[in-house]
Amino acid sequence: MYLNRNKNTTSWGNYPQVDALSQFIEREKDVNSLDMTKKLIARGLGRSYGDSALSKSIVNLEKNDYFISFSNEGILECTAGVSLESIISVFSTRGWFLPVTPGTKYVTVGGAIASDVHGKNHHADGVFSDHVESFRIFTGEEILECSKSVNPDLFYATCGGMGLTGIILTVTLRLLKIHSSYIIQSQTRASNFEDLMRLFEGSESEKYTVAWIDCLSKGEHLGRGVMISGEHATYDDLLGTKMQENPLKLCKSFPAKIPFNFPSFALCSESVYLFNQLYFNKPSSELDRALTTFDPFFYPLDFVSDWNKIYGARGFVQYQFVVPMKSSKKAIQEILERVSDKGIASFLAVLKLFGKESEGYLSFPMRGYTLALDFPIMEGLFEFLDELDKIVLDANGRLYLTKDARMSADTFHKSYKNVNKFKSVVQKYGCDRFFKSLQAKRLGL
Amino acid sequence: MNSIFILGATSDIGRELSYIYAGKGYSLILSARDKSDLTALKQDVKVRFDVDAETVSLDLQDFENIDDVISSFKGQICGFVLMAGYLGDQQLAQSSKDEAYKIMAVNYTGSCAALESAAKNLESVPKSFIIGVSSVAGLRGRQSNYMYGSAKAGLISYLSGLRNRLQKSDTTVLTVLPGFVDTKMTAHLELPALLTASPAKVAADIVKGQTRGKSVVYSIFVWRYIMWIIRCIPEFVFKRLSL
Repeated sequence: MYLNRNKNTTSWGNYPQVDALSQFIEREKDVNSLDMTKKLIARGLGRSYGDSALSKSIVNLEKNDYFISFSNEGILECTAGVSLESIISVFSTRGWFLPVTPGTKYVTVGGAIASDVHGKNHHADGVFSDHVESFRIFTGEEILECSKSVNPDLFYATCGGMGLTGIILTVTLRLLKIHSSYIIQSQTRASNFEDLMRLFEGSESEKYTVAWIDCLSKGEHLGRGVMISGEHATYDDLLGTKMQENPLKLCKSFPAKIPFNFPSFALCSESVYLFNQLYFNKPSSELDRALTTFDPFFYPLDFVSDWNKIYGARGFVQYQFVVPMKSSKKAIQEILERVSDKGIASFLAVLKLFGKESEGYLSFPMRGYTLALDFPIMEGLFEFLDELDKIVLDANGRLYLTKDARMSADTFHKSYKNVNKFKSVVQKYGCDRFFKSLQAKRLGL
Repeated sequence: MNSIFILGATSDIGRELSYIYAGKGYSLILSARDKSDLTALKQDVKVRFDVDAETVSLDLQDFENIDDVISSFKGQICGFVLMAGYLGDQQLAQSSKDEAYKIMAVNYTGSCAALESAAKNLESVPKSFIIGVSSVAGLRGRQSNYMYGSAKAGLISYLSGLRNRLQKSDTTVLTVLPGFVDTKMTAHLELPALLTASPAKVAADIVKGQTRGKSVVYSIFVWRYIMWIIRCIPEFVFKRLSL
């Protein structure tokens, strides 16, 4: 274990920033030498947007990235700092993929559990923790094994628990069997929000669905967008194309690190071809089916590393909320109207219909629509978002803690129904004496 | 005879080297001080590359033991990488004999003993190689780390002599001179981003140098010029600098 003082430690939104001392854990035994006099928070690759992985005292696990074992049935055991990117690069060529992946692959498995991340297949396959067999966690006093049957209360408090139950050390998860590293993708235009909802509700049998919304459109075109759906291509889908020779070939499309791994643009010819086909042939109003690779389909934003810097030094917040089915239409239309009236264009607006609610006490998804909007930090923004919070609360919705940097404790307590259950588990295991993030302080957790 | 012995395998660069050589289909003998760290790396390499690695714990301060451990793999190895190092604390080393001794033992005497043993076991092996990782700090002594720097300087001379000696055999000797590298050894230092390489980059440079039969590799390359300039500074000027 070693220390590192980082001035201005910050997460993906570049807001807030804190002068923190990081203790790097490389191995499990390092927990014994942790300085625990100040309350700690675990941190992986720092891809949560707000203050959930921030504190004056941080335990950094990005170097704790070791694979432990893998069975031919797809059960992977690894340490918590292993990134989803590593899992894809090691296992996709062997026919295995992540059962659930968020919109970036630069997150650790520990972080994926703590945020209980979801993907484009939430309606079909649930959240990340639904595919976790077990994990081992350091609660501040001891290391405990957790699963749905062993210490289940700690398991459900940890999934989505934003690191407040301790430091996840190792994880055992089930990977998804795939027959190719290609995705068959369809794009469909929708002329307004109602149209989009119809598309979502009519495509629940598709494995992956997501929509991009044009935030600037108003009136009858309010909420117009493009729905993208997809599924893993089978070997048969590749017949007659050059992809059939090596169906599991991994097309890596960009340099992972700057500054010294110089852009080695390892674009393989297949991915360039497919990328062009997708992005330069505009989707027609008809269903447009095409083959694509993992990176443009799952991780379009990873293509520009450090895209968060476009929002400048003041940073940005991503406002992601979910509202239940029956209040979705009214609430989302109202929020889109407010945003478009306010004239702050969100660079990104992503809509998704979730499946059933997860079991994690602080897990975000519930049955209904979720919308994510990016806002650069500027004067008056937080007051404006407080107004949006009211709309979300009135609709019985909630905000995603992984993206949050500014919600009030009151809003949080009103919207997360299992918060007392969560608090009692944290007290039972004594984790609250050792772990606290800036977010937890702000939310009164 | 398809194994590579990596001494210091659990260091950040050592780990990246293990990946590269495992990916090329070599068997690995992973060596470092800590047995449990080695086991973790062995499992990791097994999952990533389906390569079975052997592990052996070895401490470069344990001078008597070094040759026996390395020689026990005679006939098995075709390559040897010395990747172990100890930066230590210069201030502490000025007052603590133990710290000064440790810096010199790990970076020089122990390292030379290991390389000597490797040379003995590899000189009759066709197309074999020895890689010694020193440091640009060994090219000119500076007040901020001259204990470490002088030990690494000794290692540079040792490697140059060994290369000369093995010139007639089929064993190449590569001296590696990394500049700043973003590793756990330097995590507490503030390093200039533009001059700092990732462990993966240094490992890639090392393997590239080895496969091309190079004698000396700087990583990253710009350090060759930086150190050339630093070595050109006349001593009467240099001694007044606070480097």
